Amino acid sequence: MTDPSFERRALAVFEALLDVEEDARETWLETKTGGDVALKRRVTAIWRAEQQLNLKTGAYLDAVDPIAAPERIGAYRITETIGSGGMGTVFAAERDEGDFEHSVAIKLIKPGIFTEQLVARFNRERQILANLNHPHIARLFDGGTSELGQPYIVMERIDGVPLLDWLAAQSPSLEARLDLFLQVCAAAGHAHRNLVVHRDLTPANVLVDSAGDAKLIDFGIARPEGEEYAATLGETDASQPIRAVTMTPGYAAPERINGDAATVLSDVYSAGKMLEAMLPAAHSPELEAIIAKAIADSPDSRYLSMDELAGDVRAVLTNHPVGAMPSSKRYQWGKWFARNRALAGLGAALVVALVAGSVTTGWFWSQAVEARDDSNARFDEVRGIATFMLFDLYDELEPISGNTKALSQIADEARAYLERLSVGDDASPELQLEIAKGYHRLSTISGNPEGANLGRREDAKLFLDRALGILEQLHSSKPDDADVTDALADALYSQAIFQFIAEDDSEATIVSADRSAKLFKQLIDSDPDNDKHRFNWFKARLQAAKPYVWMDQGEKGIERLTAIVAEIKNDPKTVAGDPAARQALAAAHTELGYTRSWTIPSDRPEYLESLTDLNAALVIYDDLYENGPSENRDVIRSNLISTLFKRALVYYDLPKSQEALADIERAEEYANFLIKRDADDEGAKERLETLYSQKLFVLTDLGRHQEAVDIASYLLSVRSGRLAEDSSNTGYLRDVAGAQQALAIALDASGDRDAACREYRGSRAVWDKFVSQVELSSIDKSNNIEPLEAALKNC
Amino acid sequence: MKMGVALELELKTKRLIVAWRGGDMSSRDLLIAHVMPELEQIAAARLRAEHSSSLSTHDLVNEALLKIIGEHPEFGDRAHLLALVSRVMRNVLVDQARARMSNKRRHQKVELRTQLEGTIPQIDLLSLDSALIRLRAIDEGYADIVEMRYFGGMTVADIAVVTGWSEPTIKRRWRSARAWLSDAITDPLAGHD
Repeated sequence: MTDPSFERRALAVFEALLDVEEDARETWLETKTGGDVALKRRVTAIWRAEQQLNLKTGAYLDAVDPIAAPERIGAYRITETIGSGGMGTVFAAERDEGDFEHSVAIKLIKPGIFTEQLVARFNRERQILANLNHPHIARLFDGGTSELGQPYIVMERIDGVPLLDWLAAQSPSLEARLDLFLQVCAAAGHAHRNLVVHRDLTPANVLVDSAGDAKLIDFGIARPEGEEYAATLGETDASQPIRAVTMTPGYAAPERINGDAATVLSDVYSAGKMLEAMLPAAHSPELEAIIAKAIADSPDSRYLSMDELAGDVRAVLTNHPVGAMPSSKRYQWGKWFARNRALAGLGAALVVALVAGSVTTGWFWSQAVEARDDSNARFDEVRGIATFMLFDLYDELEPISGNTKALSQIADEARAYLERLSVGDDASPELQLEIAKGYHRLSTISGNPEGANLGRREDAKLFLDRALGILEQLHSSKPDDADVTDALADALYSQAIFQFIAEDDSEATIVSADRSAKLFKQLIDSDPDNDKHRFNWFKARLQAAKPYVWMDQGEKGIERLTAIVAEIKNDPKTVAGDPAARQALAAAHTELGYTRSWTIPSDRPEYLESLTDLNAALVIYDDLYENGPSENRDVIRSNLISTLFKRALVYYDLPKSQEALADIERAEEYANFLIKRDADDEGAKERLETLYSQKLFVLTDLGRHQEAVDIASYLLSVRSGRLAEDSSNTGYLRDVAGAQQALAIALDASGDRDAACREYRGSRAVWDKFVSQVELSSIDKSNNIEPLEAALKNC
Repeated sequence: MKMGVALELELKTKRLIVAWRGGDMSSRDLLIAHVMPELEQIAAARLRAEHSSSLSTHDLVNEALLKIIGEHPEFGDRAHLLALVSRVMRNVLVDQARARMSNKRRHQKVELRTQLEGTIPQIDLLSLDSALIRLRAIDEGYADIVEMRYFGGMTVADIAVVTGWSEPTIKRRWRSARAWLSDAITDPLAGHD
C-alpha cells in the first residue's frame, strides 16, 4: 500500500526541487532529504518519471519553458512566440527585406508531422490559398521549408482570440453571435467558390480580432493544434490517412470519420457544429432547425452550400421564414405577418406578399407552358418515363380536384427516375441539360410558390439547386449555347421567385432576377424576333423590380417599373392586342401601383398615381376575364383577387373605406368561387383569410362594428382550429395571438370595453405562451406587444 | 407548479455555489449531483456518437460549458463552473472507458488529446483514473489540479480562481502531480517498498 504521508512528503520535496536551479538540484536533494534514503529514492523516481515524460512527449512544450524561437525563418525575422501546439509552433515575425515591412505569423511545422501527402496537397493548393482574398479569411502569404527541413507557412497575423474564448469573455448578444457566424459562412463560402475546402472548420480556427471581426485561419492545411495524438508519438504513422490529422472529432462530418474526403458538405456540417457551439443553450426552434439541417448525418440532407446556410441564419436575424423549418405554410404566414406589420401597421395588409406572389403568374404562366412543351418534345423522346410523369401525367391530373395525393406520388416517382438518370458523372451535356430541366420542373411542381404546387418547399429548393448546379456548370463550359442559356435563365427566374416568396430575401431576388434578365437579353440579341425571349426578359426585370419596396427603396422600384410598363405598352404585340402581352402589361401596372402605394405617403397628391396604375391593371384583367382565352381564366381570377386587394389597401389609406369595401367584396366572390369548386384549395382559403383580415379594419372604419367583430371572431376560430390540429406549431400559435388581438381591437372600437379587455387579456396569455417557446421579434414587440400593453392599461 | 420547483432548484444551486466558494467541498459534490445528471447525459451521448475513440476534451468541455451557462445562468463565474465540468468529464470518460472494456474482450485504450501544451501524453484512462484516486488520498489539491487541467482543459489562471492558490504554485503542483502520475502509471507499485 502506498503510504499517503510518505508520498505527501515526497511530493512536497519534489515541488520545492522544481524551484531550484537545474545544476544544483542533485546537491539540493541530497541535503534536503538528509539521511532519508527512501525519501530521496522516491523523489528521484518522480523526477525521473518527469524526464521520461519529456522524452515521450517528444518536444516538451509547456508554458513554463516554451520552445526556443529561431532567429529567422526564410526572409522573416522572428519577434516572438505566439503559441505552440502539437503540430508545431506559431511565431510572430516581420519581413524587413526590401522597402516594406509587414507583420506576419509563421507556423513552423514539426518535422514528421506533415506527411508527404499533406505537403503535396499544400503545395497544390498554395496558389489558390494565396489568392483567397476575403475580409474574413487570414491571408496566406508564403510558405516553404526552413533550413532544418521544417515546412512553414506565412500567414496574415491576426491579433485575435479563438472564437469560443472570445464568446465566453464577451458574452455578446444572439445577434452578434449570428453576425460572427455569418462572417465565417461568407469566408468559407468564398473559399468554396474558389474550390478550396477548409477541412477543419472549428471554433479554434476562427479568431476574433480587436475590431470584433471573425477571421478564418488554416485553410486546407492540417490542423495546427490539438494534434498531440500524432505529436506525442513523436512520429507520424505513414499509414495514417491525412483525414486523421485534419479533422476534429465533434466537428468532423460522419462521412469523414468513415474515411471519405472532405467536401463542401462536410464543411457545412462542421459549420453547423460551430453554430451550435456558438449559441447559448436556449435558442429558437428556427436555429435548432438550421443546426439540425446543417449537421444531418446524410450529406444529401444538409444545406448545399455555405450561402444557403447563411441565408437561413440571416432569415432568423431579420425575422424571415427559415428554409430549414418543417415546411408549413402557417409558419411562413406567421413570419409574413410579423414583417408586414412593420409596414402596414396592425392588421393591415397582413399577408400581402402571399397574394402578391401570384400576380405575374397569369400571362407568364402561358409563356412557361409553351416553353415547357418545346423542351418536352425532346426530353420525351429520350427519357420517356420521367418526362411523362413529370410533365404530361402531372398536368393531366392536376386540374382534377382531389388528386393531390396522386400528384405527390407522381412527383416522388419522377424524382426517383431523375435520380437514376443523374447517376454517373459521364452524362453527355445534352442529357445533363435534360436532367437539369427535369429537376427544374420537379421543383416547380413540388413547391415553387409561383403557380399551383404541392407545397413541398424544401423539396422544391433542393431540386432547384440541383438544376441550377448542373446548368451553371454547363453554361460556364458552353456560354454560347442558346438552349443552356435559356434553361439557366429560366431556372434563375424560378430561383428569384423562390427567394422572393419562400425565402423572403429581397437582395438575393434582385441578383437572381437581374442575372436571369441579362441572360434573356443575350438570347434576344442573338434572336431578335423571338417573342418568348422578349417576354421572359420583361418578366425577369419585373421580378427584379418588385423587391425594392421591401428594402425601403421604393423610389428605385418605381423607376424600374415605370420603364418596364412603358416598354411593354409600346411593344408591337401589346399594340396588336395580344392577350399574353396585355396580361404582362396588367401585371406590370399592378406592381407599379403597389410599389407606389407603399413608397409615397398617402397624404401626398402623387399617392393617387398608385390608383391610376391599379385601375389600368384592373381594366385589362376585367376585359381578359370576360373576353380572353378561357384556359386562362383561373389565372386571371387569381390576379383579380390580388389586384383588387391591393386597390382596397390604397382606398383604405385615402381614406375611402366604402370603395375599399367594394373591392374586397368583389375579391371575396372570386375566392369563394375557387373554394366552392375545390374545397381542398388551401391557397384560395388563405387568400380569403387575407381579405378578411383587411375587411375587418375597413368595416370598423365604416362604423359597422358588429360585422367587424363577427369577422374577427371567425378568423380567430379558424386559426384556433388550425392550432388545435397542430398544437406545437408556434406559427399557428402566433396567428391565434394576433387574431385575438384583432378581435379585441374590433370590440374596443365597437364600444364594448369589457369584452375587448377580455380578449386583450386572452391575447396576452397566448402571446406569453408564444414568448415562452420562441424568441420574440422586435417587430412583434413594437407592433403587437406594446400596443397590447397600452390597451391593457385602460382595462 | 413547475415553475415553483425550478425556482427552488435554482435557489438551492445558488446556496451551494456560495458554500462551495466559501470552501465547503461537500457542497461541490452536491452541486454536481444537482446540475450534472443532464450534463452527463449530454456528454455520454456525444461520446457514443463518436466513432473514433479519441476525443478532444476541449470540445466536449466547451460544449458542456455553453449548455450549463444557458440553463443555469446563476453560475456567475466561469472558472468554478469549469471545475465542475472537469469533474463530470472525468466521470463520463472513465465510465465510457470502463464500458468499452467490459464490452470488448480485448482491452481497448481510450486516448485523450487535449489542446494544452505539455499535457500528459496519451495514456490509458483507467490507469490514470486509479492513479488519480491514489493521488487524491495523498493530497486532494494535486488531484483537483489534474482534474481541472487535464479533464477540463482549464487555464492556470482559472484554476487559481477556484483554488485560491497563486499561479506559480499551481504550475509547480501541476508539474509535480503530472510527474507523480506518470511514475504511478508506469510503475503501479511505486511507493510500495
